[in-house]
Parts: sequence; structure tokens; C-alpha cells
Amino acid sequence: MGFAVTASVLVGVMVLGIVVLNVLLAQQSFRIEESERRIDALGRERLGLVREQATLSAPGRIAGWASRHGMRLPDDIRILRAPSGPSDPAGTDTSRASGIGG
Amino acid sequence: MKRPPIGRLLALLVAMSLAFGAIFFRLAILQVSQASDLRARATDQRLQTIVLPAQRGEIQDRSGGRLALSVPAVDVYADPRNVEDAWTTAIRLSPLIGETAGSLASKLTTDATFVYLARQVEIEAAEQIDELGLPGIGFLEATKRFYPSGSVASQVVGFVGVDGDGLAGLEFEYQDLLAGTPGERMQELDPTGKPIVGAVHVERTPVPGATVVTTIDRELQFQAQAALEEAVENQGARGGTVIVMDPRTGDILAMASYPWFDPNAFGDALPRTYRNRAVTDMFEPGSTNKVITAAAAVQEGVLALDQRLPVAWTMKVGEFTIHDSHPHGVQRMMLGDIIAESSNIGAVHVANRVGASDMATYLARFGLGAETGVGFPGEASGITVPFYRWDEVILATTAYGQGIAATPLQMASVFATIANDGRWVQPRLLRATIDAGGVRHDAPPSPTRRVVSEETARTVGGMLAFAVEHGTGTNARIEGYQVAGKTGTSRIPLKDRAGYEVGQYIASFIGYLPAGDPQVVVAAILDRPAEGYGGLAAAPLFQRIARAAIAQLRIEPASPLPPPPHALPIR
Repeated sequence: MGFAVTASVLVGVMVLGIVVLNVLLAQQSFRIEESERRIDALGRERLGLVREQATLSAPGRIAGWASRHGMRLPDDIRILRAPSGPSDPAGTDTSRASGIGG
Repeated sequence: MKRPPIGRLLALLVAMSLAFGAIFFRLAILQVSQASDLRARATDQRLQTIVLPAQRGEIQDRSGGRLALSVPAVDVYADPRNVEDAWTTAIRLSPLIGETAGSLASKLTTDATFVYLARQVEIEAAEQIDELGLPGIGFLEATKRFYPSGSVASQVVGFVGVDGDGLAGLEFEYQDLLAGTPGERMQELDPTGKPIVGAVHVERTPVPGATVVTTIDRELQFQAQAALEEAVENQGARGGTVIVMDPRTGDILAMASYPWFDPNAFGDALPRTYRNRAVTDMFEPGSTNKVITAAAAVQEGVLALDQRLPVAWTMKVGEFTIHDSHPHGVQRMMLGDIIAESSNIGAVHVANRVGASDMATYLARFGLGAETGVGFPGEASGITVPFYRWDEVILATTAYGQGIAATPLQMASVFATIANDGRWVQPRLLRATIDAGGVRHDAPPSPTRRVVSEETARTVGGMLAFAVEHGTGTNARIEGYQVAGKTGTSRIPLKDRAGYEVGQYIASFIGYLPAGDPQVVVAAILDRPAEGYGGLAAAPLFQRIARAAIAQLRIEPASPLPPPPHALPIR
């Protein structure tokens, strides 16, 4: 009688353990699947942001925006030379610091 | 109890033996001879293999600005067997897919188990379709190529088809690099055909394609295209081509031919606009070819720089009479004058001194008649006359760039050679690749070869600068910078090559700056402009693009080259 009870309990615990383990595994699987879905969604969101950044930085869009706001390319080309250092007395001479290119 | 007759028992034994024998025989067939086939069929029913598409690599400009990238999309398909009401389904899908209900209905009633309804649909549209809950409609993950700058560098970048394969331009050239390697997922299905969670048998992760970093400068490309479009419209030209190139590295910073197309809607454009004519098409270079004549003469020392040649305005060569662009009396020109005034007759005199053999050699050394190897599909090699067919007429016409054909890129490379102290550098469009792991691999420096000496190159450079300051190229002058360049006005051969079009020209100006320390070469070519001459039509285009290059590349002025000896009075 004692053996039968012990065996039944043992088998019951084992069955319960297997069921619990199965449930845990299934739960983990669902979590993994959810995480994968989230990774996919974040990946898509990243690509969407990359697309938006690329669109916004396109030179045609920027030129169009600038034109609409009254900006235009300069007619002449100027190269401004920065003072070469503290020891350069020309550093304070704005007439030498800003020369027309060529 | 009475025992059954032995006969019946034996009969029963035999019958059961036969039955069991048949069962064992069938079992042997199933388990042995048909085992692998049946196992495969069972696996097919239970397992599903899904191809995981690889993310196609980006195409970037030299600073990392994106010229092409792939964004998520969805392919919408139908299993017509499971569609309940084809017409209702078609009517509900039509506005979301952008296709007529009739066309969709015909797809939904085909005798097939799978039919695409729409490829590369935006995610939002696919979600709206999914919400309709239409039976028989399914979705597949896909990507869609997107070109954020539209038509900027479209002929260089190219485009891909709906299956994700490059069909033109760099998309085609670097298909293997960009495509990556698709992955695979094998998962188990339940009896209803739905995937069992967690029952993934095999998964091979897709390897994304590499990023291709081009030599193109996106901002400069945009400005070059804007200038070209405006010039074509102002000149009423049929089209035009521009190239901006770094003569030291061979990097092509901008390259376009008008008209161009938007690769986001390449199906709506004329196929001829796909062509990158700077590389694939040829033209007779005209007077821009005189730079080769001059370089050959200087390098071979066939005449002194201060030697005067008697130049009339016409000249009889064989049975042909050639002439300069405008009438003039006999002038005693030096080589510097011939280049500055772009005298055809003067160039013929010079070529006659160089000789056919050396002229042919220098054409080849400067890269005419051979592909540059820029790394672009469909590059033309140009046309030069085989040496055994050279005669006095070929020598004469070659001297001023008629009777031969070159691509705009070949001619830009000729000027880049002079700008690069006489060393030809192979032009290139590929600057680097970035692999899936993010590791950058710079392209090796372009191959080079010496064509003329440094001294010759600088001497010819001085002549080209003189031509801009006081010759036919004055419209290319830029205040503060010494520009070296040459105008070209070439006749256009008829399609049957039986002569030339009357009154129609290809106008060109190719040059570089600063002449004393060249950092950029610009080729500006217009097809049949209203003001036919290169100096009038193409030089202003050169000037505008060169100004943009100065600003974009922060080019500083350099010490000027000395002018060549000259005999004609300065304009």
C-alpha cells in the first residue's frame, strides 16, 4: 500500500513537473517570439528613420527650402584666411585677414 | 468441446500467414524502398522553409550621404482558390494597391494557387489591406529600393527591378556586393498550417549586402546638374553632359547627362534617359583634342615654342579643303597662339611635324580608343583609326579632333593627365566598400601611367591657361583663379557616317583649376546648342560648375603658370 502511494506521488510529481516545464518552455517561446517581433519592428523603425534622414538631407530638398526662404548662391567667391597664430601680428589686421581669393 | 478439423486450422494458418506476409511485404516497401521519399513528404507537410531576404547594401556618396537605400515593403499575393468573392475583393483592394478593380479581378480568378497582386507595397498600405481581413490574401516581407535624392546622380547609381536585382548603373555593376546572401528559416506547422511557436528547426541568418561608397560628391553633383539643366534650356540644346573629376586621384566627383530620370519611378522615364552618356556614348571631340596635338609636339620637341608657323585660313589636304572657324589672312602663329585661337590649320601644321606614327601613339597614351576602366557597365572605348589606315587626311583631321570619337570621360581624362603633371590616372567611381560587419575597405589607388613629362604638362597647361585668359575660352574665366582649358566645337556625323550634319555642333569646354595646382577638372559638353561654339555655349557652363566646385571643395587660388611665347596681339 505504502509503495503504491509513494509511486503515485512520485509519478504525479514527475507529470506535474513535466507539465510545468512545458508551460515554462512555451511561455519562453512566446517571449522570444514577442522579442523577435519587437526587434523586427524596431528594425523597420530604424530603416524608416534612415529613410527620413536621407530624404531630409537630399541636396534638392535643401536647395528648394533655401530658395523658398530667399537664399541664393553667392555671385563671387571669397576665401577668408584665419590668423595663423598668436604671434602673427596680422591676426589683428582685418584687412589682411580677409582677402579675396586670388 | 470438439476440436475443429485440422484442415480448417491449416487453412486459417495459411490465410493469416498470407495476410501477415502481405502486411510485412507492404511494411518492407514503406520502410525500406519508399522510406526516404515518404520521410521527405512527411517533412514537407510538417515543415515550411521561408527565405529570409538579405538587406541590400546602400550606395553612398563620398561623405556618406545616401544615394540609394532599401526600405521595408510588402508583397501582396492571393491564393485564388481561397478568395470568396473575386469582384468584391478586387473593388476593396483597388484603391489601396493602385490598380484597377478589373485587373485585380482577373488575377483573382486565375487558375493558380499563387498570384502577386502588388509588389513592394508600403507597410502602411499593407496594414490597411490586412485590416480588411479578406480571405485568400497573403503578405510576404520584401524591401523596396529608395533613392532619396531623386534624379541626382541617377545615371551613375542606376536602379533595381522589383526582384531586387540591379538593372543599370552601379546597382548593376556591384550587384554581387550589394545583394548580400539571403537567409533561411525552417519551421514546423500545426495541422491547420500555422507555425508552431518555438518550433524552428533551422535558421540561417541573412547576411546584408555591403555598402558601396562612391566618389560622387552629392552636393556638387546636384549643383552640376542644376547648371547643366539651365544651360541646356537656355541654349535650346538637345542635351548635355558634365563631368567633375579630381585629376590627382581619378575620383569622379560629379557626372551627369541631361535629360536624366528619377530612379524612384524609372518605369515612367524614357529608357534613353537611363544612359550615363559620359561613359557609354561617344562624340567627335573637336578642338579639345588639340591638347593632345600640342602635348605630342612639345614632348617630341618637333618645334620650338617660339617658332612661328605660317597659318592661312584654309588648307588643301588630299581632296579636301579644311579651314579655320573664321576667315583671316596668313598669320605667323606660335604653338601658344594656335591653342589660344584654336586654329585648325595651325594644328594640322603641328601634327604634320609630329607625324602620323607619334600622333597615333599619343592618342593611345592619352587613353583614346580604349576603355578607361572606370568600373561602369557598358563603357565605350571610343573610335580611333587603325594606324595602317592613316593617311594625310586622317592625320589632319585628328589634329583638330574630327574623324575620331571619344567618350566625355576619356576627354576629361586627357585634361586630367595634363593637370596631373603628365600622368594619366584611371578614373574611378568606387571609393570604398563597407562590409556587413561595418568594416570599411578603401578601394586601392587608381592605376597610373606616365604619358608626357611634367615639364611638357606644365608647358601645355600654360598654353591652356593662356587660351582662357586671352583666347577662345575667355567665358570660362573666374576672377581670382587661373583657369586652364580648351574650347571645342565639333561637327556631328550623320547616322550613316556619310558626312556631317549641317549647322549643328557639339559645343564643349574642358578645363581645370587652379592651373598652377590643379585640383579639379570640369568637362562641359552641350549637344546642338543655339550658340554653336564651345567658347560661347559650353564655357559659361564650365564656369558655373567650376565656381560650385571651388565653393564645395574649398579650393584656394595657386601661383599662376607663365604664359607661353605668343606672336598674336593679346585680345
